[in-house]
Amino acid sequence: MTFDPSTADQTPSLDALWQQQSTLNVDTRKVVKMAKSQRLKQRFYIFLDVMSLTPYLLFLVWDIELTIFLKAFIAVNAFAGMIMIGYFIKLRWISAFGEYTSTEDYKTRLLQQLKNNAKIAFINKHLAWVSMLLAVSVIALHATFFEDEPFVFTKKIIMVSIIAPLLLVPWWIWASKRQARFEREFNTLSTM
Amino acid sequence: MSKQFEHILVEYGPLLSRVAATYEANESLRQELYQDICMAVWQALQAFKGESSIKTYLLRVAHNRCVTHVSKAVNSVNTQSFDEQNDQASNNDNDALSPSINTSSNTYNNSVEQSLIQSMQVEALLSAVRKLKLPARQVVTLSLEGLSYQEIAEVTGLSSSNVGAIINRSKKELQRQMQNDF
Repeated sequence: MTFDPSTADQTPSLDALWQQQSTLNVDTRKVVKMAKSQRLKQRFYIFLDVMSLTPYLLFLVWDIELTIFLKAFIAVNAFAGMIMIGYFIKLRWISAFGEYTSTEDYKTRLLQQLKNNAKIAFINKHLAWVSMLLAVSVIALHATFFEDEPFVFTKKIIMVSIIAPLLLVPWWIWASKRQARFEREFNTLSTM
Repeated sequence: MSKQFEHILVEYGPLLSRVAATYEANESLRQELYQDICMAVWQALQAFKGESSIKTYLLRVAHNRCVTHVSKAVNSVNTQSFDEQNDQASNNDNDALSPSINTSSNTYNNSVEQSLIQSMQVEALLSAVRKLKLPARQVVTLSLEGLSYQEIAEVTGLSSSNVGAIINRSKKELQRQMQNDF
């Protein structure tokens, strides 16, 4: 059996052939149900993102006695949290409503988004050991300024040395995997 | 809204299904992708302001959803490039069909043979389309759907003159690849 090149040379034959491919069917009701559930999830995730800031607000509402170190620590975290949540909401908005632009614009935006996500994952990964260093520094500074007893200082250092790796090692692994995933997606998309 | 969505799927469902076929060779993944496209369309209809034709709007949404699908597909466990997957599928099809074709004069009538040839030609066309780079793949399939240069430019974000050049080049490439496949 041979393919007849004379028919392939005619553009209409390609058009006709394209239209002859079998097409899929979909259950409309199921799709509507799934789409509604997906929209609800998107809204719920945005709600959760915003709600994640409420613990910081509680510090403003309740008059709790805190050391200057803790106040500074909470303020920095709240500020970083607000920036991150702004970014997450933007990502969710793009994911929900960003598909209506031209493919060229969409691809550019998606590539930028993947690049940013990889950068965030990279920062997150290194925040693991930076957090450990920061925690030890805060304890050391506290001990210096407030003249903590050696026993209290040692106890704090031992607790940080035990608890921190339990949290930070999985954090490092999780962030590394995310970084690799976003880089893979970026490379695939940029070579498309 | 649901009625409008149903009407749209009746009218444009096959078109959207062909968009899914442009990007996904695996049949079950294609079905999932088509479902995803339909969900994106349902959501997109709420934001449709009639600034463009509904057909170009739907195609924009569908192609963009497929772009996301392809970039994420690299993370799946059974990662297999679309080209490899398709080549394998084509080879399997050819292997399975060869003995039948050899005895076709005795076993099958002309209409069955015609339908087999047609089905293989369609597969060869899809295989060739999936080997094209994204802009060429998108432009050529939109052209095969009968869109004008202006409409294709609207969907893809490329200039009309660029669209014309890509169509000419890509159709020649498709014909060359199809001839090689047969």
